[in-house]
Amino acid sequence: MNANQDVTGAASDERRGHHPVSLEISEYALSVAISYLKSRRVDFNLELRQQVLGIVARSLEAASSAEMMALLIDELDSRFSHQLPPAAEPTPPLNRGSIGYD
Amino acid sequence: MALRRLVLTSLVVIQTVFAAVLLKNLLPYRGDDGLEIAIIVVFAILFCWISIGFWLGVFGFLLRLRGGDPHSLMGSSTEGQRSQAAFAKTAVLMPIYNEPVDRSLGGLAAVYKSIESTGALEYFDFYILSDSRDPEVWLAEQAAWYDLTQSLNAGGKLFYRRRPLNQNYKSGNVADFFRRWGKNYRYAVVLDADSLMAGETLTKMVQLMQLNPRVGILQTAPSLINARSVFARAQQFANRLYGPIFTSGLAGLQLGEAVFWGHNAIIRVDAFMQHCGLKKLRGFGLFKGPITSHDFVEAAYMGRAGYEVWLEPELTHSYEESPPSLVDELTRDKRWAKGNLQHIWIMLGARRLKLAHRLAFLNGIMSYVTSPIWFSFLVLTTIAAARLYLLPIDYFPDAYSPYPLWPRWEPDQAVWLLALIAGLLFAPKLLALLDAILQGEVKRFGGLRSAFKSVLGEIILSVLLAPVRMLSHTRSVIEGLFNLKLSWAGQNRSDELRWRDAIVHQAPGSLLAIAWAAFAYWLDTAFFWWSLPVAIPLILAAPTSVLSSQVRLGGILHRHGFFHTPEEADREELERILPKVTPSKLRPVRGGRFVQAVIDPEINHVHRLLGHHHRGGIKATVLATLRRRCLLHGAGAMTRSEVTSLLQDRESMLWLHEQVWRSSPDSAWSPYLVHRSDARGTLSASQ
Repeated sequence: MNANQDVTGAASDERRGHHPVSLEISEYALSVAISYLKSRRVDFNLELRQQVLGIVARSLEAASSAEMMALLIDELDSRFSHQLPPAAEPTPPLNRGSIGYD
Repeated sequence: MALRRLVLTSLVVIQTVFAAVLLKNLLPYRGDDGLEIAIIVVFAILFCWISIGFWLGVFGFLLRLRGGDPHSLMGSSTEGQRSQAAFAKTAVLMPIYNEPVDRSLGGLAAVYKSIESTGALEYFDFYILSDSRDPEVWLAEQAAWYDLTQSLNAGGKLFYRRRPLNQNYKSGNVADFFRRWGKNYRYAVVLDADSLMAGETLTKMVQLMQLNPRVGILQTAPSLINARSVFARAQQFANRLYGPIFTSGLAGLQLGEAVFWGHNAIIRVDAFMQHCGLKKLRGFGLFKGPITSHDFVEAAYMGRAGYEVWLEPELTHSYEESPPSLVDELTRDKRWAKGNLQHIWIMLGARRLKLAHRLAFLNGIMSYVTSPIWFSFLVLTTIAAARLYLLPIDYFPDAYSPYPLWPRWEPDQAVWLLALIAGLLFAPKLLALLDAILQGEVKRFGGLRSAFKSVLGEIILSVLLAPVRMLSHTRSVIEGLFNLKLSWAGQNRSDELRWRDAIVHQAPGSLLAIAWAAFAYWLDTAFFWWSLPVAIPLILAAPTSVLSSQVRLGGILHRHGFFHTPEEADREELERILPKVTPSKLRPVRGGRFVQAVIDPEINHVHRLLGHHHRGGIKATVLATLRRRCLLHGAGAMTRSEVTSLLQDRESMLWLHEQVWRSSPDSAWSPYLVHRSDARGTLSASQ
């Protein structure tokens, strides 16, 4: 796959009513990787950024366009531990009672 | 209690008879024929109604003048006794239905923090009880709930429940809570979506309930806050200045047989669960089906079970908001009118209710029925005037009297009757101003000059709005009685009214008023002048509605000293007691809340927690097809019900989350996954 291949998909996106993605595929993959890690509250520093760049580059070389993102996300999952804060239980355990109708 | 009620009843009856006799002597045939008798009866009902309001105001003023009511619930214990009372587990409930999430849940968070500051947080749990149907709204609610559990560290104390089916409106929502978790609590505080209550007030209420085990419901008198439009500011000012004398009077009259207003109140859970279940009505038309206005009925049932219901005006720092415009108020009143009319069935048919609660039903019913009665009064007086000028005069209306009766219409003398009515309507407002002066509160209304001109401004506005309300309530009552379909929507709490909407909404009333005034002018000039106080406000209803809904105009009036209230004067104090909280997860998201729920791992996790697990079968197959279509074509390709189905399925939400992040660059989802600045920043930082 050509790493500079344009993935704008602008025409098809406009047909679908989405914002056109006018990014080159490498830039797109890097953006997704960063968004993915940020959404998981991974703290970024220079070293981590370089690691991410390396992972993105390897994914671009290793896979076809269709599989590249899956490979990238799998690689990120395996390389970075990202523990989300535990979510509270929405409701307490049921303790059923009945309503009286006088 | 009995003496107070006897005195009030006597004063109202004497005053009403006096006014009715005065009217009788003013009418052309002195009440000697059917039409005039009907006018007198209708007038007496209306006069009786405003007389009750007048005397309640006077009574409340006198109670406050002597330093409060010694027979009130607060008067039954000292501050020391209350502070010694132990706390008990209390649930704070906020039922919501398609409400603005930042304000409703932000308000609940403020209440949470306020209770936390009292040191009694361990006794309170908080429940968001959602009946919202719009996925964009309930997704925002769930995101906000998650955010608040994190930011307030409220895991295990702040809960969220959304009913899949919102049966029986708000009362069904609250009953659903009681069936599931009511047994965990001794008390429950019910809030409205715009309610705010200070922690100190809530802890005091729990302690009062602890000291008075026969109290089933304790109701506060909420003050209005956060008004911005002219209409809301005037309502807020009126509530804050006039409210204390009227609520003191009402509370002093009702004592332990008060009513429940549905929110800003605490209820004894076991008594409520045992005695306050609401059966569907088994009558016909309006009187068949679920009870829409539940609160009065629950108070009546609580009273029937031997528990007391108290309104306690001394419990301060209890707040709610006003509808921002007249149209919003009238839309809300349409629901309330129907709900109150339903009470006719319970008032007349329910067994063993206390007389006070039957009268409370009557009071609620009359709040709306007085409008068609007023309308009837106008129709009858128009007929009487037309008869006087258009038909041959009947000199012998009494067939058995040999003496002729010379009909006369004496509008000049009617001025005295009008002055009496105006006195009843407006004197309590001036009494309330005097009360504020005597209580040392007037400074907090911007000073005497500001308060006085605000009273005048509020009177002018209420005169302009009264006929519009009358006509709208008349329509609501007719629609209610004929059980026409009413839409049930969350209250608008922010938007200004547009000219087009106002004109469409008010056009029928304005046209009717023009026709009526024109007829009056054709009939007689004097009658025309008499018609103007009602006709002009109706003709001007659209501009009045639009201008009074304007926030900018509200701000201008405020800068010129109109409609100041103590809470605005002590804004810092209010924010200290109830710190403002805005859930951060509510900032706008690209693609909408469903896209956020799919992409954001935390929000996705929340929805999986709140969703269901479908083990197999047709439903699971359908969901699998749906989620594949959603992945392929994007969120925009899904209908609202399809989105709801996916959101309620744990497997679908997890699958979509995993697949969307792994989707190819030309996927329909890709625009929502990337932030160009992230990549550029990383590249430049790495070089």
